[in-house]
Amino acid sequence: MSRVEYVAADGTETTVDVPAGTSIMQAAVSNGVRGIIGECGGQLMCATCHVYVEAVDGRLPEQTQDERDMLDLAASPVEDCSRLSCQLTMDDSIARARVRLPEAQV
Amino acid sequence: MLVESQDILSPELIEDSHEYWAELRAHDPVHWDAAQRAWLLTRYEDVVAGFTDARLSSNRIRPLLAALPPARRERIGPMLEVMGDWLSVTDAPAHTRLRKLANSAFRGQQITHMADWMSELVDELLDDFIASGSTDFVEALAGPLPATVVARMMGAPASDGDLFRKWSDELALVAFSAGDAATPDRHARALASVEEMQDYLRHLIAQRREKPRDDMISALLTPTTDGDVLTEAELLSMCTLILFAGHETTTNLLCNFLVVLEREPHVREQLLTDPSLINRAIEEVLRYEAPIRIVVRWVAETHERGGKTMQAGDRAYLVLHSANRDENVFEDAENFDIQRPAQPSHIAFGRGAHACLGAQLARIEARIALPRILERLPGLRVSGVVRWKPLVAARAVTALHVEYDSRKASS
Repeated sequence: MSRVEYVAADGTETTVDVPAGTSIMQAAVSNGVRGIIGECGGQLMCATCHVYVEAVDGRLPEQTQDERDMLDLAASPVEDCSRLSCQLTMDDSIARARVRLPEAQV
Repeated sequence: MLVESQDILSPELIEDSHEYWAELRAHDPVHWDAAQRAWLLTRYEDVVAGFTDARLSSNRIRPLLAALPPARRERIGPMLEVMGDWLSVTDAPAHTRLRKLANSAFRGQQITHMADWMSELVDELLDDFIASGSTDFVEALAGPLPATVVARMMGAPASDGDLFRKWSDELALVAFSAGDAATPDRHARALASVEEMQDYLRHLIAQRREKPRDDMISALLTPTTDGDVLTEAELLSMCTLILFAGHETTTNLLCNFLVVLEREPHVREQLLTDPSLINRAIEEVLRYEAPIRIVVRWVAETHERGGKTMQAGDRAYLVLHSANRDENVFEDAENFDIQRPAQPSHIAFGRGAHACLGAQLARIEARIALPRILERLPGLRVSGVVRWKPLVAARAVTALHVEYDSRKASS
């Protein structure tokens, strides 16, 4: 399990325990965390699961060129810590991740 | 309580089905429509679940072909064969493979880099529209814009966008289920168009095999890192689908936006005052008057849903238009409100493995075109009565004529 803290654009925090093999996007969608849409279901085609990674205890999966290409389509400004959360699959080496959610996903 | 079926292709329901959808959502959310031979799923949660439930298969053309009586098969079989390999009508694992190849080719087009070119194209179309004095919004703007964009993306000359439009209009009669009563020859017409389209594509594919360029056909010809590559037949099928799906629905999005604006004049003022609201307005049109009305699935395995037994071999209609106005999900669902929060989100582009490949392209086109259209055509209004095509699957106007203050139109 990894502990994922979602910080909404208005500051509201939600914490979800995410099993290994589940992405931060999937965990948000199945737990009703507002601020992540995940329209394409995680196939890197929509950029509606954009997050800003604020902290991580462990190592997140590397960013691929495909993910960088898709981040171009994000509705909110892209920062150095921007990621598409469908690519952030948790594993047991990640104890905790804290992500801030953008103002808009579409 | 069971609700009595209404004819979803009747003139009344083609004009406005929302009262019927609301009744079904309230009293009979998994409803058997004997005339359509389909279950109508009308609640948001059922539609969302339906998108990702493997028991509701997308592989609906092949089983249909297999079940056709010989006489009917002879008539409509050839057209269905063409569509049988479309990405949209396959399941995993075949779908997973095709979709991966399509996703990769699509991403490679880096559509954000096309924004400047799209803006220029919109302005050229507007120049011609204003100069010609035409009133036909579909012919002059909503049709050519997406067709030209998709033609260029594929690698065809942008000027051939008109050809794709002509072929796609015929194809739509089958792909969006026009119904046999209205257009008895629709399969033959669609097939003739598809054959022309495929001849054209074969030629283009051969050129790109010889000399690849930076376009989608060239990308689709390139093997993946693990060595997978599309066969010629798969490639033809994929290109046909992308050309068709790549513009028909965006044309409808642009038109539906104007139709909604006509009914909500205050929104036009809001947008002129604050153009930054355009993204929200487009998303709300996608919720309120989505270009796709119904998505068809095939029941692959008998199962219970909402107290009903859906038998293997039945059809299931995921009624997007109903789900997008589900009062248990959207506050004041029947109201058009561009200030509505982005979530819960509409499902106009579907969800999951089959979610619309071109969703972001459609959004970009609409976000570029619509503000320019409103700005350059002051006082833009829809003229005459709007009528909708009698289609099961799509929400498309039969025509859209507009008027505007031509003395103030900016060049």
